[in-house]
Amino acid sequence: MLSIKNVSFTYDSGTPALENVSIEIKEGEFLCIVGHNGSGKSTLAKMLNGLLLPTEGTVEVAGMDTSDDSKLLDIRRLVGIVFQNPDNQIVTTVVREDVAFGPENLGIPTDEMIIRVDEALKAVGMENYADSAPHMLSGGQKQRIAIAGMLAMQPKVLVLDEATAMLDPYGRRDILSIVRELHDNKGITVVMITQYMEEALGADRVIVMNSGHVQMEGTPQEIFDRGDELRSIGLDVPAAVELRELIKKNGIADLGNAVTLEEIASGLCQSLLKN
Amino acid sequence: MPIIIEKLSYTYQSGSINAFTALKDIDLTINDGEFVGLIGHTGSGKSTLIQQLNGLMQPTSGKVTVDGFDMNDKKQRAKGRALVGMVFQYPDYQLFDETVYKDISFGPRNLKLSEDEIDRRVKEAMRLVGLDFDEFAEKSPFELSGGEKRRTALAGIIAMYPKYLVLDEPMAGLDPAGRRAVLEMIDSFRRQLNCAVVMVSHSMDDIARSAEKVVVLKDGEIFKMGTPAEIFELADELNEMGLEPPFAARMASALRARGISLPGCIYTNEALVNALVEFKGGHSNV
Amino acid sequence: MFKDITLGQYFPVDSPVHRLDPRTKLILLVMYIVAVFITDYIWIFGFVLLFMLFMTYMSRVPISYVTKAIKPMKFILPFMFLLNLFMIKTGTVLFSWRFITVTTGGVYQALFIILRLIALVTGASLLTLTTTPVSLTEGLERLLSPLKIIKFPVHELAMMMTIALRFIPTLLEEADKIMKAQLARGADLESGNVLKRAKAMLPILIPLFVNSFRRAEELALAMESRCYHGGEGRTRLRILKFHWNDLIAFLIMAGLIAAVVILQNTFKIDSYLAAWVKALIGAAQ
Repeated sequence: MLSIKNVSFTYDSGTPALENVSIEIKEGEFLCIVGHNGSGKSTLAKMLNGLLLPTEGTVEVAGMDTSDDSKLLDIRRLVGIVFQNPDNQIVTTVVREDVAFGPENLGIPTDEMIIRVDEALKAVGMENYADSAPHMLSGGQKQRIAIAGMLAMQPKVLVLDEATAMLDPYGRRDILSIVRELHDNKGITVVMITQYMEEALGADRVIVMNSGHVQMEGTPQEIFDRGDELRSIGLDVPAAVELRELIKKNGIADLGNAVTLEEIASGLCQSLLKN
Repeated sequence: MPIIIEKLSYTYQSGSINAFTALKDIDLTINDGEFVGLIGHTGSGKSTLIQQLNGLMQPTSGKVTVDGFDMNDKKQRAKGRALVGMVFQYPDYQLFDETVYKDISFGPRNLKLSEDEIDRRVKEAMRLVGLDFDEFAEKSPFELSGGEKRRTALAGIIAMYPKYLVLDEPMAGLDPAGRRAVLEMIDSFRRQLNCAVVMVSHSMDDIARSAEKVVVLKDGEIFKMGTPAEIFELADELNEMGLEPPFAARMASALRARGISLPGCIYTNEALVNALVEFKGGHSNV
Repeated sequence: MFKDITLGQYFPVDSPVHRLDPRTKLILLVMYIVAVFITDYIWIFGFVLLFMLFMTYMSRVPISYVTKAIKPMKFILPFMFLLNLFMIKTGTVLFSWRFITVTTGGVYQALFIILRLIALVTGASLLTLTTTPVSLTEGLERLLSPLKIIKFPVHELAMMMTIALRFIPTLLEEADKIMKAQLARGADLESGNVLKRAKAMLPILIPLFVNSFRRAEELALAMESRCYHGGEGRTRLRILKFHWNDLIAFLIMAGLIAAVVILQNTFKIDSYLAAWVKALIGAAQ
């Protein structure tokens, strides 16, 4: 679906942001890209729909090169991006019209647009806010609107560029569950860019970025097994994984690959209460 | 002398049809040198409450006194405000001057201190937040990274030598390493300047690590106040309110529900593991 | 809380006037302004004011809201009145003292100019009270769209207005936060002379500008990501359609203008009125 080949990028100021990065993203995948501030992960996000073009290397979306100007609209239709600041991506003063902004740009006929907007709002659970003013909504609700705005363009890939960073824990959980649902039920490919390790727990694959290159790649399990390496590059392991490791180290129980609270709790019960 | 809040209520647009009561009958004391964690759902009244502490907002009814200065009185308010330093969530709201040095000196200058004293304090504040003087003093605050901006913003307040330091989500948007660094920084200058800290945070783990007293706000009222251990005992209730208690506290509560008897006051992974080791030992002896 | 500011003073009720197409309302306002200016006689002007009252009644907006628009004119209205009163020297002299002369023509014109100004302001105010800023922008964009032929950037202008409307509440809220952050650092915004106070505003204005530029940059990226590429080939979610009530509104307005024109040409009774005013003042004395 998305193919990043030997991409390097240097900003005009001369700071290199990416060095020889190659990533293949398969259709239907849930990929999580983690990294500390300034690791190049946001630069990478902007490469995925041609907002930035690589200094070296190529980025291809469904076989289309992002440096091909004539394909740019098709690429952006396929790859929707939700950004960090909820306030800075809503364009109009009415929720319904904002969701329609993408389809309007694509020249979708009005009849179809109305259906798409309603469906998109329903998919993110905001159908009751269609006529509200965006500035009266909470941060989490604004991000839902931003996601709906992407869905209305019927994309194949949804990129979340630190879309939860400015939300409270409640809003964060909310957005995560919506994204998960879109992936599971609608088969949308998800690229989740974040600095919260917890958000990587449910991913199919995790890529860890550090100072412009890919430092680690693997399943969440494989990545969290390298806790010390993660900490050395300014990241963390989720509290659940940390606890699991402590439990094992202290000889209490071996819980295998348990990562959720439920898994760990029931694993502990089995091992502690059976004798 | 402490900050004393008595029977404080605050209503937005009081008297109009849009009237909205954000705070109801708050009684709270912030003692000298104390570290108070303030938690609550978005819209629970946290921001409104901290703005009452330095008189940016005045109560609709009730009273706030800072070291005896009545914050309802315009003249006394200025004196009280000088004792309370306040760092807002985003440093972008605060940074404005040409250089980091000038920006940090803005607060001390408003206190009408001598140039020598200002210089001394700016250097001290930069040292406390870990900004190298030679490297950063002449830089523009707008060229800094997110973490450096936050340090500069903090330094701008610390240089005023507040007796009470109020921090609104000081770690929002920082990566785990950045969060740890800011938290350690707050701890260190709290000890060095001997000031009280009031910290608003969504992260219960951060609060659990540092606070001596935790205040939980719900719908504009104090839902519960106590030591972290007392507060996180209510893991399930907090969870229901949309606040995420520390993972270890939630786990302890889940394990108790499944019949593993654990002592109270568990909110760190280390404490939980210790309790589990003990449980296992006790259990196999039976 | 700045959040509660409603922009453009829209009064949210449902009424036949609210339901009119924004284009209709804009054209009606233009026609109404024409009617205000072609009317030469106060008593015919009564019809224009009657029309205004009728529209206000139909809009279900309390008349006090409509007349609020006059308030900001409390200085200009007396000024215009006195200017006309002393400058116009037609008709009979009523009063004279040194260089000040008041004539019947002056009294008449002074009263008339006030009525005209009030009629204009309340008319425009009724438009904004019954139309949301969004539909106003949309109406303007559609009405001006023929100008695209002469390369007038109609779409860009409308887009700018929309974005401005979207961000004004956000920026007001941000200004409030910045002001508090600086007050907390001991900023003194109230004392000193004008120059000193202007300088004291810098710590607020600079972060506001810097943040706005960053917002603009991020918004541009977000718009590009959503395939924005100017007005070309763009479709719209809302299609404006004229309904029968638009037709009725146009008919009423056409009736008003026809009445004004016919009455003016039938009864040319300027002098009669001047005499009437004079008699009235005489009686008062």
